[in-house]
Order: sequence, then C-alpha cells, then structure tokens
Amino acid sequence: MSGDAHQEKPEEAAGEHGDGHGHGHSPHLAHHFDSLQQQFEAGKLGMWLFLATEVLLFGGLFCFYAVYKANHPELFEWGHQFLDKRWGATNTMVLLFSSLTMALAVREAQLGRKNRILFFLSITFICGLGFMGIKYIEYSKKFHEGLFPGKSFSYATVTTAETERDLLELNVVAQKTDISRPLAEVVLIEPKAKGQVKTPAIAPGGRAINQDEIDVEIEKQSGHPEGDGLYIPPAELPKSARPPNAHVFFSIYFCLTGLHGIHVLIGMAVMVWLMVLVVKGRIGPEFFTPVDLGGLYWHLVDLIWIYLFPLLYLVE
Amino acid sequence: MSIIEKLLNNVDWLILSAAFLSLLATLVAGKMNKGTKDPHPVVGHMTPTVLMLTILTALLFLTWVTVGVSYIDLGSLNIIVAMGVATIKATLVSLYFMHLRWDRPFNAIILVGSFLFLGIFLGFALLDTGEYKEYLIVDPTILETQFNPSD
Repeated sequence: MSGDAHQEKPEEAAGEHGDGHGHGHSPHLAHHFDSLQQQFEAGKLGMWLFLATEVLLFGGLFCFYAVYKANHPELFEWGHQFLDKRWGATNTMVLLFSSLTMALAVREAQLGRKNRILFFLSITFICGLGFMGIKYIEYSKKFHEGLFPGKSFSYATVTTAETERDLLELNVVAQKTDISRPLAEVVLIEPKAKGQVKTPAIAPGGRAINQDEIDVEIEKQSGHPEGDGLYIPPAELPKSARPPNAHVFFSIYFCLTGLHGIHVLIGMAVMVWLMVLVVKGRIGPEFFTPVDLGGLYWHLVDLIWIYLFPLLYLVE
Repeated sequence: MSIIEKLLNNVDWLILSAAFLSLLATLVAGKMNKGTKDPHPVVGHMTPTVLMLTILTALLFLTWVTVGVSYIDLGSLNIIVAMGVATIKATLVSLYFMHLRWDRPFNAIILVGSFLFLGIFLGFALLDTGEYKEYLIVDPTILETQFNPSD
C-alpha cells in the first residue's frame, strides 16, 4: 500500500505554532495524533463508518422497493411510465459530472490552489442546483397530475383520464370505420409482445385498425392541463391496465427520490461550508480533510442515484 | 421549451456526445500533462486528472448503455443488465473518485460490509414475500372510496 509508505515519513512541514509546549509540528495537527497522515486516515475512517449507516438508511427503502416489486411487478410496469426517463438520464449525467468536479476539487485542495478549489466547488454546487431544478420540474408535473404519495394520491384524476381515453378511443375507431361497407366489423389488434412485428390483419368485411394508429390519433386529440385543477392528459396514461394499489408506486418513488433529494440539498450546504473554509484559508495541502470527506459524501449521493435511476425509471 | 423537448427526445445521443466530449477532454488533458509529474502530496494520495477524466468517460458510456438497453426488450435480462452496469459504475466511482483503490483496505471492508448486510436484509425480506395473500384489500372499489371519500 502506498498509503503506508508515506506514513513512515517524518513530518518535514513541521513548524512552531506557538502553543507554549515548545515542540514543533504542523499547526493543523491535533495533539492526539502522531502524524498528519494518521489524522487524515482517522477522519476518513469515521466518514466511511457514517457512509455505511447511510447505505443502510437507504437500504430500508430499497427493501420496500424490492419486496413490493417481487409481489407486484405489474405495479412498477404501470407506474414507471409516468416517470420521464429523459429527465432521469439528464440528471444522471449532471450528477456524474459533479462527481468529477468534486474529485478535482479534492485534488486542488491537496495542491493548495485556493481559487481552483473554489471554482470546482462552485461548479459542483451549481450541478447540485441543476439536479434539484430538474427534480422540481419532475415533481411539479406529478403534483399537477394528482400523483401524490400514499393517501393523497388522487384516484379520481386517474379515473377521469381513463374515461376520457376510452371515449377518445371509441371516437377514433368510429371515425376510422368504413361505414360504406354494411358488414364492416371493427377488430382491435393489440400487439402481444413489445418486440413483435405488428402486421396489419384484415378484419372480416373491413380494414384493420392498428392500436398504434389509434394511439397517434389520441395523442393528437388529447387535452392539455388547464388551470390549477388536477389533470392527466389521456395520451400520457400508461397503455397497460391500472393495477390495484397504484398509489404505492408513488409512495416508493417519492420516498426514494425524496430522501435522495434531501441528501443532495445537504451536500450543497456542505459545498457552501467548504467554500467558506477555503476563503478563510483553513484548507491547505496539510489539512484538506473537510474537502475530502465532503467529497466522499457527495460521491455516495451519486452512487445511490446510479442505482435509483435504473430501478425507478428503466424497469420494464 | 421546444428545443429542450427536442434535446430530451434524443437523450441517448446527448449522453453519447457527452461521453465523446469527455473522451476528447481526456485525450487533450493527457497530451497537455505529458511529461509533467504530480508533486508528492503531504498526506493521502493524489489522483491524476487524466485518470479522473477517463473514469468519467467510462461512466458516461455505461450510462448510455443502460439507457440504450432500456429501449430494447430483453425480457428478464433487462434488469440484470441494468443492475450489472450500475454495479460496475458504482465500483468505478468508489475505487477512483472515492479513492478506495489507494486507501487503507479497512475503508473498503466497511463499504463492502455495509453492502453485505444490506444483502442479508434484502435476502431475508424477499424470502418471506411469497408467503402472504396477494392483496390485503382485494376490492379496488373499496380502495377508491377509502382514498377519495368526497367523490
């Protein structure tokens, strides 16, 4: 281990710090540590123990997810269609990039370049802000559609949208039906599997109407939210049938992303605190533990998102 | 808004171009830093910039893979691929961004240990899930009236 190698080195940067003990060592070295390296590693060990508790804190919610998914996979298939994976993917990019800038901030702290630490910390902060901005867009859309967690979930809004969709579907089918043929019969052909090639079939006495055709038409005629009332445009409803206990999906979604969002907010507060420390001149090559530990926290938040994104947005 | 919508609709290309941009930055940084050596840090280990950029490139490519795979129906393989890629990404982040590769192994033991206990927790919880009735409240109409008493 290279870490052991420089631990053995005597402290060359030692200097008088005027505490009257008459012994010379770095002003950053606390008295109960032998060396700066030991002090640094002790801090890191403590942080890692904290991160382990964080993993277990999220573990409770992941357990909620896993058990519910094992029992009701159809719930996730239905619910995840309300989530926008395009925004989710964008947020993944934002967090990955912020992880890089955080790691660079740690590197600059080791080199003691104040302005560059501040630059990378502020970029990380801005990325956190961007992440929360995208979260705001996603959450406000859910709130306008009445997709609240738990008891507040508005079944009425979903039911309204479903009725509206059924009506639209009937209308579209009626429009597309060729009434000049007296014996025309409407047959709806739904593709059995997603990957299956959809070949138009000929219904007796008429022409086949693909589900895709109807969906496109519904998309065109679908309404848009007006005013402050809860409203889901019928075209945005999942194609699969609504399973019972639909609100549980949104409980899981809001619990997991909400707890993660709180962590991002805390991480952003940590960035501000670190920037203050840097401006005050407390951070240098001999003592950059706060930046390093703040970085570890930020990377853990990134790590959790790496799992959350496919689990919530990409499940099929 | 329409530009954002257009960009979002091509989010897989967006990720891919970000990955290539990151690759370009890696190459440029590699060329610029050629021959220069990092000063020896007083404490800890210093990660080279080029290495960090390489890791970001890998992470972005893997993100592109996960998003791309989600558009293809592979059946039960989808979740395995998604979780496998996520685990590779998590490993990269913890090894390089979180410095675990150069840290004392004890820190890694703590992290792996926490995942191990999480596994025990999830495993035992899942062992139990098949043992109950599918829905506690069977009738969806009861559920609806319960949650929307006003309607």
